[in-house]
Amino acid sequence: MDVKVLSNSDGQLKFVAKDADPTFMNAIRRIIMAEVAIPAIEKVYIAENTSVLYDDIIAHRLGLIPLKGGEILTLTEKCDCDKKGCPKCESILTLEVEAAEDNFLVYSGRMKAEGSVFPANNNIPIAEMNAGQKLTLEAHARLGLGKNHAKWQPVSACAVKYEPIIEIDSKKCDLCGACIEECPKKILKEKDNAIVVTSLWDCTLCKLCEEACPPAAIKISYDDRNSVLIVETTGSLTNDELVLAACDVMLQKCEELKSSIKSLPEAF
Amino acid sequence: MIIPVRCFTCGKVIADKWDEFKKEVAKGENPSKVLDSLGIKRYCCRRMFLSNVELIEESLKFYVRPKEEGKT
Ligand SMILES: [Zn+2]
Ligand SMILES: [Zn+2]
Repeated sequence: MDVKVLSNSDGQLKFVAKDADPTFMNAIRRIIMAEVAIPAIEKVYIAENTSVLYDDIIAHRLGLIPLKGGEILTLTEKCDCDKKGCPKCESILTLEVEAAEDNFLVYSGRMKAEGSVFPANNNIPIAEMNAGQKLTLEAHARLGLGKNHAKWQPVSACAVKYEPIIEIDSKKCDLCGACIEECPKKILKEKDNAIVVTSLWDCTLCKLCEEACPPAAIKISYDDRNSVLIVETTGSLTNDELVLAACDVMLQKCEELKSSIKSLPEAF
Repeated sequence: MIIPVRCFTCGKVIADKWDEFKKEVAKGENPSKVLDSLGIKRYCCRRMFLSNVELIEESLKFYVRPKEEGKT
């Protein structure tokens, strides 16, 4: 398996894995989406709320704020507190605001972390309040998995795609430029009396260029031995941390399978 | 009401970019260009900005301050 990083910036990672089976890459993708544990606010105790938003709306908004940290926490399902929540599996954040002026915006950055978990993004508005309105609450963050609630999903967009193959028959091509016009991703260009592909991995295999070409000089197909994984994190984990965490989960699953096979009476 | 924290469809965090979007559009900038510069590529996320109405500001107008309660 040969890995090449196409781009790694601003919460988005794109890498090509040569000779990686797409089913394997898809397994990694599904683990990223559903089985990498990250923290999110699970319980909110509201002491005072005189803002125009209902308690429920505020609790919902708090839940969707991506949180960082919490490496020392354990999953509540695996904790010895019987799913009640205890300092070993929960981290507390508090918020105490009284608006001093009208149209005052409360941002996620105002939440005070009492434990290891803190907001990954400080600029998310939680509520808008008028002078004198108060909001006092205590939020309990827990680790969780994406398969249980979308707030625990460490990614927004996450996709696996095959390697596109764009073949252009220079004998048939009359350089009409229809394919260049038609391509929604604008990846085709005319250079030295030939059509060239500028960024192969941006091709979505839509085949619009094929239909637009009158002499049928362009042909789109794909190679499923090579695939690209596109990961867009929400901020809880960095790109690299996330992919590595997914690999760890995969290894752990294999380890579990191995030990349960070995414990069979007709052991191999 | 108030800008949702995440895109309904894909789950991208969008609320943190609302202030910037609102400011630029109020200045008269083309919303499409502002969204491009904020890195909002998918149309599911773009409609979250374009279709949001800050109704919370309307309901805030009806807030009666406790000290004024006697007078009104
Ligand atoms: Zn516990
Ligand atoms: Zn979206």
